[in-house]
Amino acid sequence: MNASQSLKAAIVGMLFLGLVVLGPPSASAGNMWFQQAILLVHINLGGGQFFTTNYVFAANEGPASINVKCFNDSFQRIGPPAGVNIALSATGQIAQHTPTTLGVTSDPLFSSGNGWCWASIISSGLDFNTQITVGATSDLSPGALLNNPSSSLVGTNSGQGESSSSVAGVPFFTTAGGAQHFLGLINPLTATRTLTLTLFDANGNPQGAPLTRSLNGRAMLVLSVPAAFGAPTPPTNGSIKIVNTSNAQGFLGWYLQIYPNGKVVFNAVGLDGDDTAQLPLAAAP
Amino acid sequence: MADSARDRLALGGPSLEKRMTRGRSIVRMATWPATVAGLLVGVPLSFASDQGTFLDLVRALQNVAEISTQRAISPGAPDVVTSTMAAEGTGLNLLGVVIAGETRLALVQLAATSSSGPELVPVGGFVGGYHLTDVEENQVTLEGQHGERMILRLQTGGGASGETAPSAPAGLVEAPKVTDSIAVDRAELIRAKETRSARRAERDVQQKARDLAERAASGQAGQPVSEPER
Repeated sequence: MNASQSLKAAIVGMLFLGLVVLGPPSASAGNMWFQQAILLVHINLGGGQFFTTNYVFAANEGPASINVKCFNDSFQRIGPPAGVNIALSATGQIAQHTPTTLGVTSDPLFSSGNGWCWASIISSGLDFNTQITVGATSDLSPGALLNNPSSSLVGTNSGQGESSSSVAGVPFFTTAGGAQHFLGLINPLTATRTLTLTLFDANGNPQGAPLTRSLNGRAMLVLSVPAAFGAPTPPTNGSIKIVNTSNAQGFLGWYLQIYPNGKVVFNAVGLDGDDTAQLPLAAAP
Repeated sequence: MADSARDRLALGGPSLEKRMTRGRSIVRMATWPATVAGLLVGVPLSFASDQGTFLDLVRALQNVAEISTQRAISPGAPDVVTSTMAAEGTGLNLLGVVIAGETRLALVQLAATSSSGPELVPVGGFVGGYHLTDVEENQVTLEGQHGERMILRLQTGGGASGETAPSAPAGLVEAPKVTDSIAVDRAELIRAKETRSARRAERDVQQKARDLAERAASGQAGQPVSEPER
């Protein structure tokens, strides 16, 4: 081993030691988790059409009994007080659900048609996956949003098993050609968090003053982008940076980018991996 | 294409590939008029319908966003509305808290008139029909079946001091069906999950160290890794 190699080995050794002994534990990113936040939408568009959600719960790790409790956008519990239990008795078994089967559509507190749910495994610590599909349909039976040929403006994402204590972002929004962008932020935990959102144009120039919003525990905030930022000349394209200035766990979100030609982007807000923590069972409602 | 078909294609050589290509062309010729007809007749109708749905959806979501913006609470507003009487109505008194590392417990007396002693409740446990969601030095947060939250402050000589959020409108009220055994199960679940998470975090750190070591060994050690902006 020559001098250069020895030096390199020593540097590597020190780096390794420093990281193992002193390095902060990094959160592991993952949506397959035994506690998940899922978006809830069921809005009457008229003419028999609903903009609604379809869920596929999958017991990918092992048999699971999942309890789902929902909240409206004013952090009030909706649906059956005890929630709805989804029994998946075999590994790999799936169950399809809708706002109707989750028991929220008949709740008078769900008049806005907008909210979220906490899905929690109550039988074991095994993790599951949730596929969330949003879209417009007149067929409200489970799975119809995916299977019925008349469904439109359909997009799919997953339930989220993590929240952020600091930085997050929306990679892209556009209003070109009449496209519309909506951002939904949720605080799944119980303590209030303060978020600061900054709108950027496509060249990275901040647009107007940052938007500061308080997000109550279990609350939800929906923003029309870029209108919500009140910039005098809002950019047509850009991105959004979100910072949780409370510096404590408590927010996640999804965004919906819809185009007049029927294309839909439904995606989770990107949470900085350095700031995430998995949703704790202790905070389950 | 299935593996067996691919194998046959490979064995058959160029002549078989030609035959299959010709076959696909025939299928394409047969289906083309139907496809064109669909494009000419079906799509404009569907497009018009989708346009209408798009506009309806935009209107609905803009309405949701507007209401949400109006409802947004100004920063610094309290999480709950003060109502000492409501907290007293629950009969819960916070006698003490235990905060030791990840362990957080609340010592809660169910009711002043209750003959049973105080209960030591872990975060995630239930007491008096309320779910204990947070324990801080001077207070604990409880959540009811309808999402209403209540802060119980630590007693400092006088009566119990509490704050609660306004109750949800009636219509969904149901007596809590939570037992102590469920609370214990939840606590065990939390412990098991925390252990798994800690192991996973440790693995992540070691993985990062290995990655960094490999990076250094491959001659990239000198490249700075910028810290993300906070």
